[in-house]
Amino acid sequence: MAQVKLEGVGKIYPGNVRAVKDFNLTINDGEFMVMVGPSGCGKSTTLRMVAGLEEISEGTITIGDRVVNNVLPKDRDIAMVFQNYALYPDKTVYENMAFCLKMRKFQNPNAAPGSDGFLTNLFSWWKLRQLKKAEINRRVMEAADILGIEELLERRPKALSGGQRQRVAVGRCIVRNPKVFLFDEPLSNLDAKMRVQMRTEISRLHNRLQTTMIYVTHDQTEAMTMGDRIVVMKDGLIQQVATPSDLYDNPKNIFVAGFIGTPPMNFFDATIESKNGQLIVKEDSFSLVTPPEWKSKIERYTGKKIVFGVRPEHVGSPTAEALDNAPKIPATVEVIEPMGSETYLYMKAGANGFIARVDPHRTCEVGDSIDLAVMMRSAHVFDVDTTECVV
Amino acid sequence: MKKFTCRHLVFFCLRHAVLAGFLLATAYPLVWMAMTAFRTEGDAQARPLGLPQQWVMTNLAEVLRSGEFSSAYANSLMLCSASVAIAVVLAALAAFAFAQLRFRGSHVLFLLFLVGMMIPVHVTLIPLNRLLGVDGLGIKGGLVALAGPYIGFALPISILILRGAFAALPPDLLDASRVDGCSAWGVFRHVALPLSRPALATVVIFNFLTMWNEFAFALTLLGPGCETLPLALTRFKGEHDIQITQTSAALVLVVIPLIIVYVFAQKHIIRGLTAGAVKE
Repeated sequence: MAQVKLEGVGKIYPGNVRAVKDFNLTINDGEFMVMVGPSGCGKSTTLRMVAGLEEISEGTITIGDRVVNNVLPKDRDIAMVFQNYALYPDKTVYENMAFCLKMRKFQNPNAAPGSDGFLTNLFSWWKLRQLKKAEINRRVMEAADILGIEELLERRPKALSGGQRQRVAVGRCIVRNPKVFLFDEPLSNLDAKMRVQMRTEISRLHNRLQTTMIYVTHDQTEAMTMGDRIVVMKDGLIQQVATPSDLYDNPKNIFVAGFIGTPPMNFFDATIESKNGQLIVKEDSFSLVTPPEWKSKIERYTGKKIVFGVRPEHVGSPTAEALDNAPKIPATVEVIEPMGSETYLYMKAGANGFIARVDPHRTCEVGDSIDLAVMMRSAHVFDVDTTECVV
Repeated sequence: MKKFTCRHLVFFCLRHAVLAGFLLATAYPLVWMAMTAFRTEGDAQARPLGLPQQWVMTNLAEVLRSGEFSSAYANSLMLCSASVAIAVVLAALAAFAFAQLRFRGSHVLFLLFLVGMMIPVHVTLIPLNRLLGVDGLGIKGGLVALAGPYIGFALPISILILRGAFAALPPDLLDASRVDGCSAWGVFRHVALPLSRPALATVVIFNFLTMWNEFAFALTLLGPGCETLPLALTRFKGEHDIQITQTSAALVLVVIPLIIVYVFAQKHIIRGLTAGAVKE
């Protein structure tokens, strides 16, 4: 286990393409850190720089106490799970898992110092080989037991399902007992059901091993469910680093607010107006009275344009509807998506479309005009110019 | 529906007729050679195209008894095996470097290797004679003299095939092996080579066939008493006649190893020739 520290790390590809810019992050010992962002945001490049598979153009990466900028991947004491499993097709599952151990030098703890002579050396070599073989076998069997793949050990990768292959890829990392686990979108090639199952297994594995893990994904659900902390990236820059709940409740800017959450946050172009001593969010089709505690933060935007953001579960949900004097948005139902445990209403308010997550038993028809209550204390106001969250 | 069935049948018959014709044209010379090898000289002169009146082993025995042929056989086996082994090792190392390692001038160097394929063998005969002769390296006349040209001419095509195979290896797999503890040599030895077996088999067989049949270098660079099989076969042809049955028997012996190798490796050859053509 080890702390991983990235200080001012950048990656510049030929043609002066900057894939990662001034990346500063400290991943604590034993932490499960998830990097999330859209395709091309630099998350995989950052992971590959930690692994040593990409050269670092600027900055410093430290694993434990050692700066690893110029250390080969094999000497960084890391293990990596790849998106397409990267299992050796000509080797059995056992051989795949044992391969990294075979590549390593093995020290005999009982070796007698200063022994010489050809026969003595030959005997020592043979004994070391046997010890290494036994140790490899012990570690592979232990990892196979953890992952429940003992019966697959003699099979080749082509005879395995996607989930089994991914388990073997994880097993290949476990046997090494590395300081840091790196995962590069490991669940992307799996079907939805298997993805959920593997997600749980990886989380369980982290709880069991308590090793530092860095996990890259473009799926915000994976990020939210697995990470101790999440790094949201865009265009090679860190947008926010926070715990899943903090990221969801207090997004730093419009990008993070829109990226995290399914369905995504609803955004409205609006203005702040003052009326009867109250500040209101004014849009063409609705006016929403803001909570008094917002006043100090949004007063300076009076008469100015802002972006108003509210999550689907904070519009028309049972909790919102139960609030006294909750401001309401009048809108027309365009599409109804019953999900069983909840229903998504795709609404139209003036020129704006938005989504409301409502009670599954709420009765309404397409074309109905209804007023949906808004939980203003859970909504957000963003600065139009900086896109930063004001409230 | 009936019309479609008739048309289908006609195409089926045509297709198979063409294939049968092709098979006949390809296989008949081999069958004829094998039949001639087991018939008497008189029978071969009288009824060259029919089945043998009497199957005899004397031609084979005669050829095998000939010391020159046996020694040529041993020479060819030794020379081809060693040359192929060296060529494949060198080509694999160079191809891996061209495919997977980044270094300045790699593209130009690779093109230079490919230019080697465009040099006709005959253009090099006189320079090689001078280079290997007494005024040069002084190895002309022995088998060693042939190894250099054989390996040199085998390298361009071998590098081209193997570079394609190495370049087609999934990058994640090579990255995984680097993380697993392999150096560049380890990646080559433990991952790239085992996964490129079809391409390696293709290179081995292609080069072995080429060297086994090579005549021009053998004729000009070997001295008396040191022959390879293509040269030894010419001994069966006199000034005014040709011993057709013994020549056929010798050819049967020459062809047998190639057929055996091909039968066992044909799957690899086909996979090797198409390796890297499409992304799997």
